[in-house]
Amino acid sequence: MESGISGSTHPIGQINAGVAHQWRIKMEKWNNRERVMAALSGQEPDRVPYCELNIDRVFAAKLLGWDEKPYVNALDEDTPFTLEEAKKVSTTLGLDNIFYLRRQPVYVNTFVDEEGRIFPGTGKIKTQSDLAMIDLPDPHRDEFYAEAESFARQKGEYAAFFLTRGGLAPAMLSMGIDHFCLSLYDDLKLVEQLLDIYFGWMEVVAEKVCQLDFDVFCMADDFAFNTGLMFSPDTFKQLIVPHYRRIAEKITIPWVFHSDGNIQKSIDMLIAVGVAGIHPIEKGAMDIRKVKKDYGDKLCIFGNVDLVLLGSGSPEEVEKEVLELIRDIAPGGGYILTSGNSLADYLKPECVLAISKTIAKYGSYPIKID
Amino acid sequence: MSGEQHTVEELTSQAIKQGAAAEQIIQDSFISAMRIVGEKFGAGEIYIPEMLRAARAMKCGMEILRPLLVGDKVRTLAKVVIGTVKGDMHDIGKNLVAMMLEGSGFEVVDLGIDVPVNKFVDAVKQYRPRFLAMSALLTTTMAQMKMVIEELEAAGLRQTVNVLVGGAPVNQVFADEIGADGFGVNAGQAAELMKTMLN
Repeated sequence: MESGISGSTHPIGQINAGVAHQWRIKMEKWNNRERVMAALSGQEPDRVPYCELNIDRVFAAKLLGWDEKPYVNALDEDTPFTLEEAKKVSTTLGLDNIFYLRRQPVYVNTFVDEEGRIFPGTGKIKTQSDLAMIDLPDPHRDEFYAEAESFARQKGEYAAFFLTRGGLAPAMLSMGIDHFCLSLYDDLKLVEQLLDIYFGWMEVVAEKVCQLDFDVFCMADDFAFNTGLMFSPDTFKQLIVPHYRRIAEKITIPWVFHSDGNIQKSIDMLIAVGVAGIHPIEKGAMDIRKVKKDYGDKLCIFGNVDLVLLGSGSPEEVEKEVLELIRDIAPGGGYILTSGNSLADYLKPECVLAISKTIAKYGSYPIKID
Repeated sequence: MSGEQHTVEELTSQAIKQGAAAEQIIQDSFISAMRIVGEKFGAGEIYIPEMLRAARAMKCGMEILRPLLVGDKVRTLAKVVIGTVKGDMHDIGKNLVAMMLEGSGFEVVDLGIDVPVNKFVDAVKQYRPRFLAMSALLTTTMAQMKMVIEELEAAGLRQTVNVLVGGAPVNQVFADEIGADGFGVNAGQAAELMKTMLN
């Protein structure tokens, strides 16, 4: 028996080259993956999906009572959970996805605080000769993907997200944002060479990962701050978009793009290269209701429960926030609820748990909230 | 205005040769140019690269003028102590604000990141700044800003300094709640706000 949801006519289905979003749902009961994929193709599943693109291991330890020394490595290059742990975290939080994380190395001076936490500091790539220090893992070797392959193959009913950085964020981190920005004028060749290295690596990885059993390709490439892009839309168009276009040619599963800050001036360009969803529509930097109004027919919207509430509010305040998001953004579909960034170490488990509880109360389609 | 430092150096040297006073060059050229840079940045007409170039060019020009400014003429708009609060390792926003302030004619004492409450208070005692600017990127570390203000009160220093706060999770409501004197949404606005407060 069909549920009444027909095949996609959403533009997402047309702009994702090679991605056939023909979600003719035939079952009464939806599983996590079907729910996520329907939302990604612009439809209303049985209820609003809930996903996270990254979860700090310290937060998970707090949530599940794991007895381990709190530790943060903000370089965040390797996946934080085994498959079993990932499923346990997702089950506990009521998530519809699990994620596997693999990021390129960045070339930064690190520093360690008094609690042993590691943070990225100044960039090391200052001149052409510094490029010689870049040594990325060989993306052509099958061994590089062995763990990811196993993870995705055993995803069960979850939507499996592959999460990585694009080429821009690691280039900016490795040069330092101020040096990167000044080099756009002073040494454009250095910027271009570094971008070529990172994006070239990413093209290979994108193609390989899409041959595995992942459902969603998530690329974090932060390039905005709270009031706008770090550099001009013209620079973005000329310097970065051609790289994204080449990556798009390799991606055969829905592509979700993450950047903190206000990326308003780049959204049309992201849509044009084939991005299926944007995350996290940072609260305070962007208005998710306006994004839904302007782009809800072209993009899946991921976001944006306030991290301030999740970190220092109450479960009741979180419920109100989630309810309002469901009321305003979920109708019509194409919406996946997430935190306003990632589940960081300082968030309160009881507040994060309030997200899925609120979805269970109010998130079933059709949405009926006054 | 376009941030070409060599052009600024040339024009500054040329103005000196033509008899312009160093203070006049600063007031009429540097500070007014940086005001326009701040406005354009705030309006989204220029971006961080252009702002950084302008700040760098202004700094180069200042280096040429500095030897010509003697005695009590060696002055900046005001002194600013700046830092990212304890527990917070984010420095990008704080650095941009510092660069913009320096480029706008302020003297900046940068305490760095992960700055404990007592270090802010000690710096206010030591440097006697007109402004104290604090940055936080985490909701958990924002509370440090309130503690600094309370400690400044306890030390009898609160009335000597204008406290400004900024960072991704910070907003005007929070600034008002903790008793800060101002909130800057970005680097350009922070500099403009301080200039307004000077008047």
